[in-house]
Amino acid sequence: MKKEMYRQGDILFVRREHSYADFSRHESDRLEVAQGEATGHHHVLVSPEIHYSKFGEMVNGLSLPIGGRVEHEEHAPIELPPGQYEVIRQREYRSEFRTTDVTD
Amino acid sequence: MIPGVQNSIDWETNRARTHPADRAAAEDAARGFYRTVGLFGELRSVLWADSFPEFFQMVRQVGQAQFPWFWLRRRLGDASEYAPLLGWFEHPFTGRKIEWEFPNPRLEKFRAIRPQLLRAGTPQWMLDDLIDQKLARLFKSDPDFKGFEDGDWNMDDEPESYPQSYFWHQLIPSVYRDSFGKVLLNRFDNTALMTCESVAATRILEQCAAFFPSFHCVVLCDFPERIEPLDGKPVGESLTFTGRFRSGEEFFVWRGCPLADRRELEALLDIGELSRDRLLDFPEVVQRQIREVLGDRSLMLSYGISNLAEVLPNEDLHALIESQSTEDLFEISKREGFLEQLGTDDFGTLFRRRMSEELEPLMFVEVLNSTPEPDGSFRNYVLRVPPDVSTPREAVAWTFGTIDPEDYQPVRET
Repeated sequence: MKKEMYRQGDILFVRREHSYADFSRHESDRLEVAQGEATGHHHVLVSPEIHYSKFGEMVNGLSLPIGGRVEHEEHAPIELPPGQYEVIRQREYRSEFRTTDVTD
Repeated sequence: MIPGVQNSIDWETNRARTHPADRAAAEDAARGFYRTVGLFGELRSVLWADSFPEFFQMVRQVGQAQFPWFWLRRRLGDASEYAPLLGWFEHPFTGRKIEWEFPNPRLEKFRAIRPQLLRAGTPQWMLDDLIDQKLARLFKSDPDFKGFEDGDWNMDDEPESYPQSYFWHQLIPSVYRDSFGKVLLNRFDNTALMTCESVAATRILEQCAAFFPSFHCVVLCDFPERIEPLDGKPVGESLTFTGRFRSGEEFFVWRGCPLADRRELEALLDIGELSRDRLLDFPEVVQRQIREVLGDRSLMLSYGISNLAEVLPNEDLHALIESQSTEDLFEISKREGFLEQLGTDDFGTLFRRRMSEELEPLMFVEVLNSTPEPDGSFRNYVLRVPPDVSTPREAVAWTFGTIDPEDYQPVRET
């Protein structure tokens, strides 16, 4: 079965049937999913109920019981249906041993 | 700084000086320096060099580069660790440290025995003095030094002479860049304690092109007669220039690097035509500077990857490529006409630039931004991808990590 995925610029949201992530409830209805280091523009998730997981400083998982909407100054917004998502940041090849994150 | 004391020198003006040195004034300043510093003994003789080559020759003759290690140690502080002396010279224009390649087996030996001496109850201050005396023995021409015998110390491990690299890598470039004294002064400026020496050294450097202190003897160098910048900058600021001393000796400097002759300078002025073999003919210090210059982004853009591949060893070229932005690499490759289009699909266009056999090809995927610009147009952007991808879809899927290319099909994309 093909994975359901949504893309906004350099961020890919891949829907997961099951997630083993340890989610935390976000206290606000807005969550900065990724910072735009190049432009200062951020990917911001807006939802009344947001659960998230992080790897380091990077949000890598989302659980959205009632769905959400991802906003960004330079991209059209994306609606995410209710569910759990893996958040993947786009990368770029630099050498056999190194990749770098792509930033909007 | 001592209040009211002028402790600076106008280096640009100083470097532009082409009048004959006021030798009496320079020697007076040198005497003042010796009195102030107090660690070289009384100044008894002054050697004047008419040119830089002669200056270096004299510095060697004065006693195999009697560099005032103990004096520096005392000024720099720490008695037990000589690490501050390593990399003591700093590149004056990049701020990068130049590694000090001075062999010093005695210091290693001393480090080894120092804990034993401390354990044996030797007072710290005595140990410090011991270091000074030990190091002072390096300066064999010091007639006042009475010697200090110690069974733990083996004089045989003293090198007969300092290596050529010391001159090539440290001293000569420093003087040509007019930084020898400057670096000294920068160090002195760090603490008020050193200010007196700094001021005294400044006085000398206002009167001559370079100086080198050793026991009871100082080597001074006259100013050049002419300096001709080749980089369009004023004389005092130029880093690429030719010069001539009154003795007739000419000197050639390319981006701060002293060169052996005019042919080398001419070759470097047309650096884009340099072959790799030709590059390897230069002394190591020049090679390093060449690679640094070639690593400059603007040169990469000017000369392109193809020319650089002719000049740089593979590992340097690889490092240079890795440091460049994808946009620049793509544009250069496109301009040079080496981009092959490998395929187009709904996800973008895949390009390859072949490199030499030893280097992997550069692969790019050009994709269209899904969100229109304010004017309604769509912007392309380029990403580098691994050399083993074969379709644009596979390339874009790779940029999102572990996504299977067959699975990569966003429901919505903006």
